Amino acid sequence: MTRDRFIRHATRGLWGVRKRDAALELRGAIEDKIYRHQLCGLSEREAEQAALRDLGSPHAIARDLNRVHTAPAALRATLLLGVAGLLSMQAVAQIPAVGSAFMPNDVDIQQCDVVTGQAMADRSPAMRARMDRLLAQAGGMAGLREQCRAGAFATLGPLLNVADLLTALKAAQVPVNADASASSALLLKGGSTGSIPQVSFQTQTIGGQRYLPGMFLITFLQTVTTQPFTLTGQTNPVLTIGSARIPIGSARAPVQTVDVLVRGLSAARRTDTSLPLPVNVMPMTTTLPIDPAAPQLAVPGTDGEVFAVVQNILRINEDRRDADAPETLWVRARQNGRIAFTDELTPDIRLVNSQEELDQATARGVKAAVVYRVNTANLQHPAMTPVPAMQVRVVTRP
Amino acid sequence: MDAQQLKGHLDLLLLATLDTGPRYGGQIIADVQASTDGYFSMREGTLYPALHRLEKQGFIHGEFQTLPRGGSPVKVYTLTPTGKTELTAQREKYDRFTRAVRGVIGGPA
Repeated sequence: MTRDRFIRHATRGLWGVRKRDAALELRGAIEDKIYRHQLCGLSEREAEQAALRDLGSPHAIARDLNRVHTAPAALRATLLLGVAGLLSMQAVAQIPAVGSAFMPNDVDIQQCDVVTGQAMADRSPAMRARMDRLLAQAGGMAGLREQCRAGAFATLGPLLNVADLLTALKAAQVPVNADASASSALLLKGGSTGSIPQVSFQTQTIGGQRYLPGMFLITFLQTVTTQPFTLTGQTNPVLTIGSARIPIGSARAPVQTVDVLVRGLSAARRTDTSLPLPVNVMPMTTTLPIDPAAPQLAVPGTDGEVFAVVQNILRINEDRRDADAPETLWVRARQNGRIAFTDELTPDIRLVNSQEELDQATARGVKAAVVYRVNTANLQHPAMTPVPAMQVRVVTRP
Repeated sequence: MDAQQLKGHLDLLLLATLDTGPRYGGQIIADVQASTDGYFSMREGTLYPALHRLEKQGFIHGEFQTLPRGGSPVKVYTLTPTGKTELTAQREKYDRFTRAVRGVIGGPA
């Protein structure tokens, strides 16, 4: 049994923040035991087996944890009705926007010249051809520099104003016991009942104000509240939480919803074993310039629907299967019936139905991808449903 | 020590261990084992549900902390003021119990 499977079994029946906390605690405990066993000379594999043996039966843990945490069925049903009520509430309160900014370095004129200049200096013919296509799409080097200065390639992506965020959550009646006095971190001090873990989020100072990387938004919200919440809109989305609607982002540093989602999903997988993602997966945000000639996927549904793709191309290309190179995760909204899922020109990619089939393809050295529909209705518990491979098609572009 | 005997005194053992300072699961097990010369050997499987129950009762408070070695954070538990009161009450109860048993079976009080 692997540690993921153990945690999944041991937290079965729990839900919400309880499940997440119990999973996180067990993961920490297992890693601690593995570390101790390794100090005693066991290999990583032997140490993991020994650690799981030490913990005992995951089913017994699940049974005992459920006795402690699970509310009676009637109460649970009431809570679920409450959730549905919150999500369907129409009378919503509008709250001032949470401002955003880029790191000055990411959009600095000289830095942009370095980024674009370096790309041109690459001597590989394939890379030069790729760069030519990107340049043609951007309207030449001047256009590419302009995109860079507008934050299109910003490494950290847009960051959110911490003071705005805390003010908005207060207005939305989401209590956040945070200490923003440290110069580089936003410390959550936990809830009065101990149900909120004490964790800190790295922040940056821009123009004398504190900013939280937008990529942390979903994880931050999942940490401070158990309330359902959702993001609507593709750029500068509106965060709906309880009866409040909070606009996120600004025109000077636009927040792309799919970039917040991709980071939220990959982070949530660390503790939510129900998400069908590999534990280590590399999020591919829209700030990475995609070769305009790279193939895309034609997916079912309607434009604007959010899809996720897990693919193993990097893993196969690097031929680092033994070194456990990560799969990449692409979250994109359907546009003209298609979504981006690779920066590589090869159209020879097998579409599969599940992570298990993707793992099998990886083991055989076959490039493959699995596609999911992402249910964003309640991002406290995002859900991913596989799209059957036969409903998806690789579309090559000239 | 059999499981039933351990179960009857588990809360007292956990509260008493945390009375000496904040600990996470692995440390609690190691401390209990060390201070009883291996007489009590508990599994995490028994420990975590018990810790969660004590936390729900407000006797202890858990916070996630990352260890210097890195990796996933561990949950470090601290005794709350209510927990300290509960520990005193459980110690007295245990003392009364052992005195009563000694009264029957004999031997040093």
